[in-house]
Amino acid sequence: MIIYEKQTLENLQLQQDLKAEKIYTGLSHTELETIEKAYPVNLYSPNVFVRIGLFLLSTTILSCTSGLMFLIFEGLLTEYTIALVLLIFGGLTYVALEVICKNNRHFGAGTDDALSIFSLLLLISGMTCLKIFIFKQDINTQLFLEISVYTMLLSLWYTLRFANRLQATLTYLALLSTILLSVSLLTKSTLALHIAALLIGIAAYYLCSGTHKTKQINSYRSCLQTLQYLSLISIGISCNYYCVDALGSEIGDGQFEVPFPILFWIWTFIFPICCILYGLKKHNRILLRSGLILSALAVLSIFAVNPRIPAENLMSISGAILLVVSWRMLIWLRTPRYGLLKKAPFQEEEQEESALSSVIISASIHQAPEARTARFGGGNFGGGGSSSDF
Amino acid sequence: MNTYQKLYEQGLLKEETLNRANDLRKNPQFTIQKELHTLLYAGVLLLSTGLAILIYEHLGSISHLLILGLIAALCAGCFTYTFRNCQPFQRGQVARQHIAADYMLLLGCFSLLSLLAYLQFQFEFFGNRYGLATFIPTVILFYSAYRFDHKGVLSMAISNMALWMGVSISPQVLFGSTTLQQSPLIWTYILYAILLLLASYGSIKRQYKAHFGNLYLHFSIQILFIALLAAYTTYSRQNFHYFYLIILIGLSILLFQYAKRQKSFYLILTSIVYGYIAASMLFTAVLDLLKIGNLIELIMLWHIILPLILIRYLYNLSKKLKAA
Repeated sequence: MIIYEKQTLENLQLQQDLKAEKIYTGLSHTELETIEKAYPVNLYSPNVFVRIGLFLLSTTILSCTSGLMFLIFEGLLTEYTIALVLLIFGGLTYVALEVICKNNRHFGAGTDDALSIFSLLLLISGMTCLKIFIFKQDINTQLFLEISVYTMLLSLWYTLRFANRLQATLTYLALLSTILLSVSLLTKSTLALHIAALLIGIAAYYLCSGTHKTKQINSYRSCLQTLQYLSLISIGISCNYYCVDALGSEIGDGQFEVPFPILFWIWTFIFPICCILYGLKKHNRILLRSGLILSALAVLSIFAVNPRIPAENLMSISGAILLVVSWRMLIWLRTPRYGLLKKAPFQEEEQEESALSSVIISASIHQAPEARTARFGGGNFGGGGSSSDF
Repeated sequence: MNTYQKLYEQGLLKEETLNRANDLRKNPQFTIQKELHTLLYAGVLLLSTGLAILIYEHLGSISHLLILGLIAALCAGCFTYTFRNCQPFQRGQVARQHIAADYMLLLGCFSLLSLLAYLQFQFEFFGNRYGLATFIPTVILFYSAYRFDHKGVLSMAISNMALWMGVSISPQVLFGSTTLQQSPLIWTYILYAILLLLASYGSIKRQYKAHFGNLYLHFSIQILFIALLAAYTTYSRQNFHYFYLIILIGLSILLFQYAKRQKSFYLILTSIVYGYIAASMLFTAVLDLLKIGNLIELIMLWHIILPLILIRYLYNLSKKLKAA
């Protein structure tokens, strides 16, 4: 089913595993080069910056090509033919994707990302136009449900065919939306929606985390890892107090009170902590990072539920907690415990993208300058978010 | 048989690597280095920003001397900790030994800026010599960046120096605000970009903190290219405004050549993006001059053909650089 050769994907997997463990095994550059020659990968997967560049250029080409087509055939476009044009153009983009992946072996190269997203968008838009203009279907929950199903099926095909993480994300989101829309058609209870989201998350996490030992789906490992992140985050969000409150108020026209609020607050804070602790215990980075993301969301939830709490208090307290926790961790890990290390035995080579992180710091010093005739001297002053004109 | 054993038997691994891999199987290890760095960085940023706003909001209700004392104590504590735990000065890159010291320095620098701002705001410490109020922290930040070999502090110093010159180089201003499009500011930006370019060249040429060279270059090209684009739109009523685009295209080509030599994909991407934008603006301007600017089909064709050429070139180049 997958478009790429199995052997090359296995070799890629091997190389990625060795690179990931390089910081522990001290695998040298020469050894890695020898292994890369013995287990060649004939896929085109460039550096992240080239990938961004190719993605932007491909998106420009695709947008302008569709724009040009619509301009050329402007006279022929009616509400009946527009669906057909969208479907044909979506089909052609899909063919281009197949050709570029089969012949040029692009894999996570930016071009394949742009083509897969663009063709999916065109096909889904075409189907929606078909439903609205030709089958005269009303724009309601039923239509949204059908669009979700089409999106889920199409993106699932793209995921299986191209092992694309972006498409795997879309598949999961479309699945979530399909089930939640179906539940909303069956019952008016908002609690049922949260339980459904929770169950989908648990089922998805269970399926994705248990399948890594199955050799047949080893080619989809990156997709499965993405799905694990998504499922853990959706488990956390499904019973997050703010989400329950916001969704209830939205559906109940503001007349909603969260039942058993303590339970939801406990979930909001305890689940991320459990993820972090379990991740540390099991040496599982996905659990650890999901827990950290959910912790940040939990703090934001307090602010979202009660906007009267001053943001500066929340920032100072959470900043202080973060510093104390990480400080304690550094002291605790002076000698490695339970296999946990504060620093890897062999350091990674500095990548271009990691050097850019220091640039982010400069963003915290900002003041809009006043236009002046004198170019030097004066100016505004700020730092660490502080700001004061004088 | 595990992967490492198999690779060893094929003669692709050294024995010591195999031994370390076997040790890893017996005693699994898990580093949380990146996560700790993220937490420390987020903690420093949140605490310094939160405290700064907190003090600002309660200016009337808390004793000024108490606030000053607290910020000064925090600043002094951070710098003392950094001095005690830092490595001796080196001309080259210093190997990181103490993770916490890096972030204490960052917190110290943020609190220093807050302290000086507070002194000026409340007590007019520097009087009307506003330049001095931004110049002093700039000097301290540059000193700290070089003494402790800290790229984050260097980027703060670069930003602060821009403030001393009367401009802001935060992404919010460079990419979002319209304040850039004011004649005197554009020339200040261009001058500052040239200064940074010289600093980059000097660092690399003299091998004095050569790894800072790329950071100077990053700020320099972003400021210079955006300032040139702003100059083109600001001086659009003047006849020579096309020259800004031609200069920008020329500089993009030069940067591209340099990036190819350095095998820097980030610089390659930057040169292509700015070069493409400038070339497209010039193409549209030429169409306007020829009185065929309303031919949208022609502009679309341009945006199909040029990216196609660039994709082809980028594809071959990245393959060539990877193989080299």
